[in-house]
Amino acid sequence: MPRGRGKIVGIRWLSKAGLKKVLDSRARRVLGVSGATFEKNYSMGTMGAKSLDGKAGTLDLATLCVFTRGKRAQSKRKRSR
Amino acid sequence: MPSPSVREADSNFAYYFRESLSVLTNSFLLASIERDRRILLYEPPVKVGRKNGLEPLYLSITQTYQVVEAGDRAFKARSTSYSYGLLAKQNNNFHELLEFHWHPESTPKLRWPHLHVIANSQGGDISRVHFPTGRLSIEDFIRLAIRDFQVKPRMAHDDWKKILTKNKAAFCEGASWLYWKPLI
Repeated sequence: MPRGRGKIVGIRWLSKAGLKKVLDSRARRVLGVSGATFEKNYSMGTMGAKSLDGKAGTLDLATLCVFTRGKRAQSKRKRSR
Repeated sequence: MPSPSVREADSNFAYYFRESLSVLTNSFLLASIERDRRILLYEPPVKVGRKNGLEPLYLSITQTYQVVEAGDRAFKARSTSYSYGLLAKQNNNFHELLEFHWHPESTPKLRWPHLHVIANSQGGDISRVHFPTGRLSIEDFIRLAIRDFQVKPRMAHDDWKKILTKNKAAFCEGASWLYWKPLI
């Protein structure tokens, strides 16, 4: 992570593509899968709330998905019948 | 504290957040926006030194928020989730020590703020236990890192204490809630 020279922490703005790279990096670090695989599993609803909060760092991936996929990402999760 | 424009409310929130983090690091925060939602985060986790020759730790920070109307032509930032974690690194792998979470939208059945302690006990693994907490500010988290994990601040004691005190006061003044009442 590059370091700023100023007294206050700087901000680096990410495009959606940049955020996808961040998601990929975090998914590989936390779950050992690509960001695309996580996004797919998440949007198909194969990751329930329990498994999302079941391993450290996984929840942040779900948060990131909202930003990489758009606002409807969460509501596409399967509902139980 | 309400601001006269969306842009100013956004900028104020990010400034407080960045200023508080500056107590521990000068690494750039990553930011993005999706419609009216904003996110600030570190990826990968950011290294922070510790006193007395202790091994460094790593900060994992994810904060999301929205800017909402707060009265007549006034706007304020409203947090929508947070995840503040402290990690150690061993053999090039990160290992979480603790994580403070609040993510009501991702886990509708677990809407209250909570703490994960990544540890084993006599009774077994307690890593996924959700210890209920009050709402945690980034300043509380930074103070915990300094006080209990001997993380080394980047500035003199008086300076960091002044920043955290000022920003925690602003957080308390502007927060719409501090304690999660409907726990059950």
